[in-house]
Amino acid sequence: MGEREESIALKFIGYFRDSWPEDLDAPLQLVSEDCYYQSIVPTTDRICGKAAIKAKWERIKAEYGDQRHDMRGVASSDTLVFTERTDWSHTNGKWVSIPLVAVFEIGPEGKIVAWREYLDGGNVARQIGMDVNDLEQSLRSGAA
Amino acid sequence: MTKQEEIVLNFIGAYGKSWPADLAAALEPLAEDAYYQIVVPTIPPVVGRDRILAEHELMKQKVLDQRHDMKSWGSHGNTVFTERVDWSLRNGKWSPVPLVAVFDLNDDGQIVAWREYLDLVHISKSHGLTVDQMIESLDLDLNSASA
Repeated sequence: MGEREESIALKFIGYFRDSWPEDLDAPLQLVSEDCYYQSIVPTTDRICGKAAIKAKWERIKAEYGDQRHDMRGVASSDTLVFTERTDWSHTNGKWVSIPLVAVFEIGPEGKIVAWREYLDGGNVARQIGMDVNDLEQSLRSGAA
Repeated sequence: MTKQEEIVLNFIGAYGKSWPADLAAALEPLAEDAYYQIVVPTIPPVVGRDRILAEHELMKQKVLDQRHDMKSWGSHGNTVFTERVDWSLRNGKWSPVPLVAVFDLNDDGQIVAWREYLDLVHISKSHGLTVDQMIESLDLDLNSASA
């Protein structure tokens, strides 16, 4: 079990627990320059680099509104942290639930070097009344 | 490796290269009242080892073969996560199924919960099916699951 790794991943994701962080650069301090983020494995492309991740957050924040999450469980190895969560996205005036597992890889410098999430995109699309292809496209567009 | 990780990796290892020859024996590490949820939250859990066995027997008829590559794992106490790429053989074609499975154990070391997170849309497409066709093809006894 990686206590240090868990504390880094939980500090990072904690910025997003109740709402969007006011300062998007604050969580990014815990991320390596070349970190990648994949919002749905394997469906969406990886977004590589801090600047691209920040740009995606800004776009999602503008497009989908508020978000928060409930943490269900955390586990780790010496280099990886798993978080099982229910994320909530405020879309078209209602809260949509998104159960998922995120996997964080922590590098030797104590920064997050990879962040990938496993979830059923169809579940999200159904709740917001969106065609799943449109949802995937919306999550893809803007990817570096 | 923790005791809990060893239990889970031994359990899932029986499915590593193909279907286990003896499905009932493979499921012995599960508690009798364990649940199995093949896609969170889209498909409801199947509750009870006997029902899980019945589902696996049905799946074995539909998915002629399956295997997986273990990518990583981690744990915290009685909860173990495995990140894998599963492969399933349908209609002569192997399709990848990237997923994370979460296992909860009881203090006796039995698996009481087994739930998997994956993108069913992607998997269905790779099999040339819609999500509804994919769920239907699994033949899951969903009425019993919610009982």
